[in-house]
Amino acid sequence: MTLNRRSVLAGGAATLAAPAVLAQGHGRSRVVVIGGGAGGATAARYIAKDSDGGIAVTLVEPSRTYATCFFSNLYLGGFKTLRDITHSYGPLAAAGVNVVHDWAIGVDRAARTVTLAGGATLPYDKLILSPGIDFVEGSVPGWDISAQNAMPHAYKAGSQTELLKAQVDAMPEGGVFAMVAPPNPYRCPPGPYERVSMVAHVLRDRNPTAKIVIADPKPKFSKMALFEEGWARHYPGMIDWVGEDFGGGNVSVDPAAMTLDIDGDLLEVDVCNVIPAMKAGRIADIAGVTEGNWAPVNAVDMSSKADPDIYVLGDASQQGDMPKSGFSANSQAKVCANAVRAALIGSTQFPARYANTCWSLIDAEDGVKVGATYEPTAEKIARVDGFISQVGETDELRRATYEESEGWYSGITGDMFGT
Amino acid sequence: MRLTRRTMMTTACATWAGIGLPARAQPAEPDADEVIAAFIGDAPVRSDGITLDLPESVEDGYRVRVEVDAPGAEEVLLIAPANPVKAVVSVQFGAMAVTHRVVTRIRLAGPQQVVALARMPDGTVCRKTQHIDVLIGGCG
Amino acid sequence: MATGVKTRIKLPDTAGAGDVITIKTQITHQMETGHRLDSAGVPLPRSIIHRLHCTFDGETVVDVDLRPGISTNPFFEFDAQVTRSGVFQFAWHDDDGAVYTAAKAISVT
Repeated sequence: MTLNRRSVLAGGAATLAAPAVLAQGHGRSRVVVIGGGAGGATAARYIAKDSDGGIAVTLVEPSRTYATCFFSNLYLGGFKTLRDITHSYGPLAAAGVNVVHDWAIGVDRAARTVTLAGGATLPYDKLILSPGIDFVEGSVPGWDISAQNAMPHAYKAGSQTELLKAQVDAMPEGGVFAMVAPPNPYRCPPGPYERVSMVAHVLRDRNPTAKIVIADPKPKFSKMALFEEGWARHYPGMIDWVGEDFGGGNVSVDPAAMTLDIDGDLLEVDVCNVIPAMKAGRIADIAGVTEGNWAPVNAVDMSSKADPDIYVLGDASQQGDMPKSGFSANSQAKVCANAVRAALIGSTQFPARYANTCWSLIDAEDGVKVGATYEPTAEKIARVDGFISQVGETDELRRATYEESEGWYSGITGDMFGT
Repeated sequence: MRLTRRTMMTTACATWAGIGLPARAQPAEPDADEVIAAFIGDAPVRSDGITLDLPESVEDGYRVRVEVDAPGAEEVLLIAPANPVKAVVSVQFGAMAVTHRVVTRIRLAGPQQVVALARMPDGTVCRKTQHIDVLIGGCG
Repeated sequence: MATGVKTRIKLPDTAGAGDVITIKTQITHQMETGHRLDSAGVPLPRSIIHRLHCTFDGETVVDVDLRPGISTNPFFEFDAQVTRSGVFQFAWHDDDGAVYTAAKAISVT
């Protein structure tokens, strides 16, 4: 049997050792991808898969497994297990991606190298940053990352999500679940409100006199009409949303005392889910490709406006009209992968087309969605047309929408990880 | 002017901001010009004396902040000509409401010229119009 | 009478004589427009809050006539000049005949 390029690469990837990383890929173009989520995993897989060994792809991701943020609310609601939403990087390695489990801590744009916490240096011809989000320090007075055990954010799926679920399950009868919602822009616009729906679903069955309070700096939120209708229908009187009009953005928390102050009104709470303001994952800052909190990119190919050899995908990018979502990141990754292959090995570059849909579950089998298609303009990725679920839809349609979201989930995770 | 309950109850069948069904107009619902003419009557109309603050464009028309300032006004009326019911709200100010200012949140069925009218103690009516674009809802 | 109705009032506890204060009000209400059809194609009857009357010790501050174009959970913000201590009272009139009320005192010095 003759070993082909791909099986050699796959074997090398499985060792995960830094020297192997450095040894491979000489003579070939090198792409380094930082962040193994919906943007990074998809980009890595598509470049490796479609370049037929012509490009050496290294994916840097600290976690050994990946719990998807999307559908993590369904875990909170008891509709999914954590295992259902946790994925292995094994298939990606088998597909020819060199997966390195380490933290990227430095980017030298002049030398075109990435430094890892473990000490290795990775040279690149093209660098793809898909680091997701970090929190803006001080955005919720009284809260910092050291308070995340008392007041979890649960906005990166995994142990934080488990903790929040355990806290909801342990709420005393008639207790108060509070959420501090984030200002725009942030990961998954309907996410906080789907989360409230899922918590309400659990409480209605186990703790029906419990209350939910949302302090929100925004005057309105994604799919608000649909959520408000659903909350009135499924959870009447349980959910109290305090928006901009009543000082929902003027909040502070005391994690030791378990109190939440909303515009001067002090509330004692049993669970407090603090979702701070967000910014691009830190490596984007380190690479020097951010302006303010996000990394501006060119709409035609997701390349950084600061450096033509760097691309920024997903939540960290500032691209225009697309919401920060897993679907968006996956869509952007495919455009980016096509552009990177064209730049490095001269393959055909197709015109960019982007799409997004955000599904949300309000109660069992009551699914809603909002989505759009997008095209690049000179200034930004611009919305072309869109659709949104309607209030008053039939139960059958809502169930079909939920089933569609399950199909999407298996589709996108397959697309990300090659399963 | 205060619309009567009867007028308000005879509604067109339409929708707000992409949340529903095509319009099925019924003749009893007065159009925007009728609503405006009924408020103005024979009063002289001027374009100063009132400000209308609303966004230039919104993603959806579900909950749009509107502020009307009409110093000295006895009453203000807000009209959304592209809505199934054109008159959106009227406010009568008592003596304590010295700023004659009101903020509310309204539904808008589509892009349109929103009109604000104010009846002044001197018998004139102040009128202000502002265009707003209402796009289809997105994730944001 | 609708279930789960909650009113919210924001105004200062104290003010100086002659001060102009800002009052914010909200009531949880679906504000069913009367223009939507249910899943069987039957029009849902209009059910809205059609009047908000704010008084201070019986004197009208604002009298608001609401139509279906007001958003779910009607919100109103307005100002009042206060010259003496007293009680602001709020009454929301529902199409179904219910009247929801709230009151908040202010101490003027």
